[in-house]
Amino acid sequence: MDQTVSLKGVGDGLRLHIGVPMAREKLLAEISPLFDRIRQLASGARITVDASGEDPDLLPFLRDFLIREYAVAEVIPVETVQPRQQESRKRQRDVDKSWENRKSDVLMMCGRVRSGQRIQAKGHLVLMGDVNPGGEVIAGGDLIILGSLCGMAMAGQTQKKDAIIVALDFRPTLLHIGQQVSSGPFGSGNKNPEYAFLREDTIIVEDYLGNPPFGRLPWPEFRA
Amino acid sequence: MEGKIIVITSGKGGVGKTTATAALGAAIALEGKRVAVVDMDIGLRNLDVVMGLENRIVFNVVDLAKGRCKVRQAAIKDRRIENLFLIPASQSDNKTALSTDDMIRLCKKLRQEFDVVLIDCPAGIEQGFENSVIGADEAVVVCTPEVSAVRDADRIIGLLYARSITPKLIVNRIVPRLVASGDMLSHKDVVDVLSIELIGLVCMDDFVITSTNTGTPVVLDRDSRAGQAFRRIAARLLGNTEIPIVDPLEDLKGFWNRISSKMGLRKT
Repeated sequence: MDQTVSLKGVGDGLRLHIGVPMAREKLLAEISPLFDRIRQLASGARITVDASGEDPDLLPFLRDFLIREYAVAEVIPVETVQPRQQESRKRQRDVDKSWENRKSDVLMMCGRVRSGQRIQAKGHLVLMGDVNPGGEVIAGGDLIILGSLCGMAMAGQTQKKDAIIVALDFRPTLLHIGQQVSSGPFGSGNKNPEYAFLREDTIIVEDYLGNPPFGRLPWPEFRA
Repeated sequence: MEGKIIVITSGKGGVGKTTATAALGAAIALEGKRVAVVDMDIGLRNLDVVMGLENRIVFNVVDLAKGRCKVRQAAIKDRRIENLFLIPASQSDNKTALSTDDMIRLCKKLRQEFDVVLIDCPAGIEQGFENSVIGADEAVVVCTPEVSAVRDADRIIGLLYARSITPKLIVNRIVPRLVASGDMLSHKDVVDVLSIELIGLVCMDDFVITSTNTGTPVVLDRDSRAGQAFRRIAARLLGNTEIPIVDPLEDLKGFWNRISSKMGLRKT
């Protein structure tokens, strides 16, 4: 197949590549079948034209043709799009709604986990309540206890090394993060929110408010 | 009217279930109710000794549950307190001698004969616990201010909730002196962890030891702090919720305040 003219989807639009300069009629004959095939998609789309050769009239010509025939939204040259605008567009998207199409596996629970009881979550686990001595909470991801944690806590089961365990009152008997185990003693014991994480395969417990684990991220990020 | 069945349980052994059962049984009987205390610790019976009735046992709870005797034959009347009856455990049988079906039938019989039935649950969470809980309407969890007792009580509370029984809590054997010096959990710590309704605080009391040895009810003793605490708990169990819970620490403070004010150390 002749690859001198091609059309492909890029970002939120279509990119029209014209490899060799050619006469207008020949060019239209090449382009039309491409657009005919995706008539529905092309309507309202942004077309970026990447043409070789210097032909200042080519772009207005294509713009007229594509808008008239296929009702595309706009036709722009490739140079203006590529470096600057795309970068800023990407950044904007990250800040605004990078999480919009992400699904998170979080188990949200409330109440008290008593001795002999166990809550197990495939992904992250949020518990609005306490874990009593002898109770067990286990998560595939992070473990967030909005209450006091006095039992056993396992986060990042079984291989997730970046998982953390947060509790408002941090007094666990045993911690697992990933493959690492620690039996304490933990924390300052003055009922501060604290969290545990792995640093070089050792479980470390630090003050949550004084040194938040994600405080330095430039913008809110999806937590996988 | 049908009587209600209250199981007294704890999970851990040695926290004072049997003593509490005997004391509460006596106290409720003194309020004028017809009370039966049932010893469910089959194979390791104790309640008869604590109540001073060990030499009158003819039939026991297994005989009664299996239909080998009538309720009035198995129920031993207390020596001192009118309306108080003991249904003793069997010493020769095994813990698995009774099934839950036996117990449901037994509870039905007892309900018809008595106003209040107190079941002394054995330690542990095996068949004996299942049997004790199966027919109960209410549960009282006895816990001492020790970490191990709290953990077991917590487990028991979870199991009781699973059987749709909302338990109430007695914190037993509090030593105010040790609590004040920070060497013993305070009842607030216990209630914080267990988070169920508190119906009484009982202090460590030498009277309890002498009364269990002699088989006399501790609640008859006006000087016994534990006895008086059990009488207040009995009243609360019968629905008199206005009786305030006395904090033994307040008592201690009061005691020292009184002494120091007498000696002129503190202005009153």
